[in-house]
Amino acid sequence: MIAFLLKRVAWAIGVVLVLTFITYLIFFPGLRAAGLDPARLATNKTSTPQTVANARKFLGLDHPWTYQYGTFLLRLVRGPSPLEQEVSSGQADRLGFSFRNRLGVGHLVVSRFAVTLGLVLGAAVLWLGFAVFFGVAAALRPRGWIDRACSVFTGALAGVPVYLIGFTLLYLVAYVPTTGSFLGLHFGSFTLLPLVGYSSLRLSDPWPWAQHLILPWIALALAMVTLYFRLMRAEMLSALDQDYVRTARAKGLDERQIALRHALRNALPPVATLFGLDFGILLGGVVLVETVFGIPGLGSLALTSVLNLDVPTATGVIFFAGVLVVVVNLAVDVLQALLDPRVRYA
Amino acid sequence: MRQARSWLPIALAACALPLGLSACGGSSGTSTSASAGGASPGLIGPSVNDVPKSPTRGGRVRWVISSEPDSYDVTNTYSGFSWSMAYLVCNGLMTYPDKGGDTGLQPVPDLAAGAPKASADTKTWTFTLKQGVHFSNGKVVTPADVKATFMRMLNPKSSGDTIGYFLPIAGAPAYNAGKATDLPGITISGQQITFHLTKRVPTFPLRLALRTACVVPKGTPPTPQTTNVPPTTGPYMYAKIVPGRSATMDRNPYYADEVKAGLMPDRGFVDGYDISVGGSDTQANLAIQANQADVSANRSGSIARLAANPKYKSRIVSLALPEVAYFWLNPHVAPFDNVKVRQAINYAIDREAIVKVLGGSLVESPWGQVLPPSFPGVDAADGYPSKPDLAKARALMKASGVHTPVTTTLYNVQGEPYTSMGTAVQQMLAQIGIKLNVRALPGSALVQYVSNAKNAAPMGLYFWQADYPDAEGFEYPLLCGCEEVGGSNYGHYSNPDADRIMQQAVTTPLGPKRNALWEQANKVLTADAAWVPLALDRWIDIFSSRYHAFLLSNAMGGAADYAVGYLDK
Repeated sequence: MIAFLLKRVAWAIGVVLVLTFITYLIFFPGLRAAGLDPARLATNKTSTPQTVANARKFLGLDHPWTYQYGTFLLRLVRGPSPLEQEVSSGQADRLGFSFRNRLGVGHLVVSRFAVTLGLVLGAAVLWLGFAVFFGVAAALRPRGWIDRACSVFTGALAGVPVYLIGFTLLYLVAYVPTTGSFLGLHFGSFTLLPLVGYSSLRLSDPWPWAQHLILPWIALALAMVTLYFRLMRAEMLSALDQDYVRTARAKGLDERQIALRHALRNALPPVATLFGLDFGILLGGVVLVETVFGIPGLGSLALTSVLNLDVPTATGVIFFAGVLVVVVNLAVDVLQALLDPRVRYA
Repeated sequence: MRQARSWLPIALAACALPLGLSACGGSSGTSTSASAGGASPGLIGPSVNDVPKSPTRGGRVRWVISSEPDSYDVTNTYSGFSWSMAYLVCNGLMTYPDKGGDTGLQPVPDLAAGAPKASADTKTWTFTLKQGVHFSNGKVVTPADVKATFMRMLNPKSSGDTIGYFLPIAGAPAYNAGKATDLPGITISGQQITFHLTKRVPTFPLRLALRTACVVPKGTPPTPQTTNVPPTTGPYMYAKIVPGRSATMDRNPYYADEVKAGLMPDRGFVDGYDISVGGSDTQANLAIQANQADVSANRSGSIARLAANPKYKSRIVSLALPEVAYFWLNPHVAPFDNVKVRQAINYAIDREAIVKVLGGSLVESPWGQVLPPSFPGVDAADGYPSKPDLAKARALMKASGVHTPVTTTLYNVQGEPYTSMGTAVQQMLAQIGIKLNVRALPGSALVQYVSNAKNAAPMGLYFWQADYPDAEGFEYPLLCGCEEVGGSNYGHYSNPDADRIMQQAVTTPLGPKRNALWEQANKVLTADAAWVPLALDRWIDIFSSRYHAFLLSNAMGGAADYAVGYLDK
């Protein structure tokens, strides 16, 4: 197990290093090759040569690219240097300094990550809950009405882009009630959910936070549920066809007990593995959902920083999201190894 | 700068250089510009562009914006939209009155007790500061705060975009370069503040009315502040800012007493603004329609659909800005070194079709001259036509002697609707034998790339908006081959006749003679096809049914004066 762990951790570190290198190549030498100056792009406001000079000093652009990359890595490990602290008026952190926002990139990323985490976790509860419950129900009665209804429902969703789901929900659930009429039907207008805005989570009163996220949760869950339902159903059907299930039936166990205590436990690991991988990727930023609903998460930060070529922020977000994926993958691998000894020796 | 095109303030900032004027000039007459080839504006409340006579007071405005202003720190703002917000929270020595039309373009004293005294050569300007005005933190405004404001703006650690306008202050270049620790060009005697300039600047009061010249307390850190913005003196103050998410403006607790004392004008009829940042324009429009929001400035496709709906038409305002969208042409790169080719393009372009691609008449108006119609003396009938004249264009191409087809490259802004516009222009120019390759870049990258003369970009898309109502900040920085002009002349264009006229204009006192010189230069530049002017941009706002009154200040780079707005009880 230790050897397995060490191997996986070493692999993860290698992947992170490759990620930082490729990110750096795109945003620094790559931009220069395109005839652009990363320092001027980073500062955005270049009305003084001094501001650009500060950015150039901070980013190490007066040195060879190997020095620049080394500084980039060193800052990740030990934090900003005294020079970087001085240029950024103490705001720089390990992920750098956004001249546009005048904030440490790490500070920006962490605050946005918390928002995305709330969005992804809430949606995950919905799509996993649906997939497990209805996947099991569908497998227990193949071609029954639950199976057919869920298959049609998820099959229809499979082809619908998440932004269309989002805008449709926004229109039908948040907007139409306020008009008091829909397709010729008239009713008293009311407000069901807010159309704009976001509130931070307060444990003493979580409702303002939740009401801004209900529709994004549903939109993201609808976009993810198809694959999970089908996988859960298929794994359950496969598990129910195993010898140990036949033995359990022969012993006279109740079908419900067989399904929940025996078959489901064996059907869940592939779903859990997929969830782990998706979770890491989604945490990196659910760009489309965040954009449609105006959620100030990591995805929207990534989008605006890349569109604006805000180099320090873009590299920081990409690096952070990449590390998240690697870490979650590592955690999934370790969990699998703990649950299934066969994995450790594969 | 403009409010809906988030890349534009970035672009304009990128082009500003400390050695000269770099931003945009001025405009006049919202009434004429409002009718220049565009949809008629909707009206809300008593009228557009007028201060309501008996506004109801109270309530909070719910303001939805899709992207954050470039800064909440007034010294570092540089877009029509962020100046609209700054208009609510701060005051400078000068400002523009809450009036539409030409009256709204004449600067008036704000924190100054009266009109400035200027020397005959307009190199010395003396102001007397009002006594008893408070910042929102309770501190009284003093002349030392005024001087500190300019020292902060010009500090090497600052990144303000209007620095170029104040470099004529004696000692400013050295101070801005970090070679001096004081600004000797601003002297104080009692309540008097005197600006000593190194050259004639007849437009100095106009520059002092810029929102970046809003007074902040002495001791404010020079670096731009993100959340802990400096206190200011306007009717409102920022109570809370969450970057990328929201901002809240509450009443400045001292302003009401200053109004009663006759020190400050009666502005700001609501109790505050709750600003929600992020989300799409469609989302914002739905929120307005549902009366979950009160104000949204956006140019989404749904705006045109809403304007056609009688229920919403009266709640949409579309007003022409002093802003021109144009292609600049590099006369040092073939085929644009030939004036007949440049003129041919101007006749081949279908400006009405471009307006349709860019969003329609609610969003743009076709335009065929360098200066926008809001400038005095500009005749909308002059300039290149809205509809193409292919016969004339082809004849000019033939007369130019250039062998067709000729290939060149357009540097365009990435994303819609500019991608579609690029495709449309390719088809238009193909009809006169010009094969156009289109290279698209993000806005800030585009400006940086084309500013580099080594890249020899032949043609590019740009937008220019007047910072204040004088063409000194419009055609002069964009088209003068003068040495002292900054880096916004991307085509590196120079016309000796126009240069001579413009250099005479900048030192001529404000008035009809100066305006006539600018218009003369406009005619020369337009005839020489320095640009391919395309369209005038328009400011669009949509309001809830409970919000009334709106004023667009073409004096201030097309900033909206939301302080005239009020809510139903």
